[in-house]
Amino acid sequence: MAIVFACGAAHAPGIVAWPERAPTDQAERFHRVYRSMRPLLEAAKPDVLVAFTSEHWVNFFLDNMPPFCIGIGESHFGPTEKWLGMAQGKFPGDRALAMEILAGTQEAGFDLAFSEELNFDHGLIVPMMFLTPDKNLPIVPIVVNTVSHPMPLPSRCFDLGAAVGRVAQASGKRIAVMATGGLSHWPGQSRAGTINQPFDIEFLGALERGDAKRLRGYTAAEVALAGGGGEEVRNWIALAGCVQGWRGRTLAYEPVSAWATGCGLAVFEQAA
Amino acid sequence: MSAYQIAKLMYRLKDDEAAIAAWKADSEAVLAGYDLTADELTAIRAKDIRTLYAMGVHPLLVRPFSVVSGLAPAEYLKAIEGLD
Repeated sequence: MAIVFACGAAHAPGIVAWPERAPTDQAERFHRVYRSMRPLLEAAKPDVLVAFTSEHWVNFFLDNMPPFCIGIGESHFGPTEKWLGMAQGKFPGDRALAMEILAGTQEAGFDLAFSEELNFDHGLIVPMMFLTPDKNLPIVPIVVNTVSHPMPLPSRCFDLGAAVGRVAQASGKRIAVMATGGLSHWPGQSRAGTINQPFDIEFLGALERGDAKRLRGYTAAEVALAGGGGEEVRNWIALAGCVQGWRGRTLAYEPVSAWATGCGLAVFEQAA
Repeated sequence: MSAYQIAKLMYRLKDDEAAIAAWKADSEAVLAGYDLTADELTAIRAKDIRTLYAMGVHPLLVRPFSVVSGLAPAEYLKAIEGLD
């Protein structure tokens, strides 16, 4: 089969843990759109979800920080943060597909780290709460280092996504792909609450145009303009590499100061 | 400078309830397990969030440590005001 669905989704903890701090109409508008993505995903009837995502000092530390790590476990535990509001438990994995991706990306020049035990924090849990709250869709996480420099270059993320995409398109499964995180935000920093709307809008525009050259061409310095948390747009750039020729359709963009994040939601569709 | 050791301590105290309990029961015993300079020890013992942040520890490690240290979110932001 092939890639049957693609989306990008914000994972700011405030979306689920302190929604009431945002203006009511803004929070409700964003939640309504986020909820609307679940039927879109389900209509595509995916067998598995491959997610380019970030983790935040849960699985990895400075003693051993992989640029990219794929979760090959039969299942994954989460959330590590009890306060997110989702019951802790297991999410099914897809070891066979993860091993296919490991082998296929190796052929493309990537030697991914892999983990049998990759725990999920809000980086995946927030999207899962909206998209697969029943924990019934197998997930293959690909964690991109977006917390500690040096981080993989955006171009490298794009190329990894392209390699994953080739494996997915050749797979016998119906595969959904997702990027989580971003857009601009400065979590834990003195500028927390600042949102670089021009960056976010330009970035979403590049996705909407399916502008592979622009997306692959983002420099690390440009990405840094989106803040410490904005480094996570690497995940979206990987997704863009994965579905080249597809165009993003922004479903929502809300700069939510109370959640300290430029929150984006987008689906990707094959250009006519 | 071994900001790494500070980061390591904060990483352990981030989500591990047993480690947090041990820290609150006897922080000196916990600190004995880390290779910290005198300045770092002083900053940690004083819960001097601004100095610890300025030493270059990742914000998403310093902030949880501020919570363990009893700072409210507004107090944390005030402590790091003006720092990158």
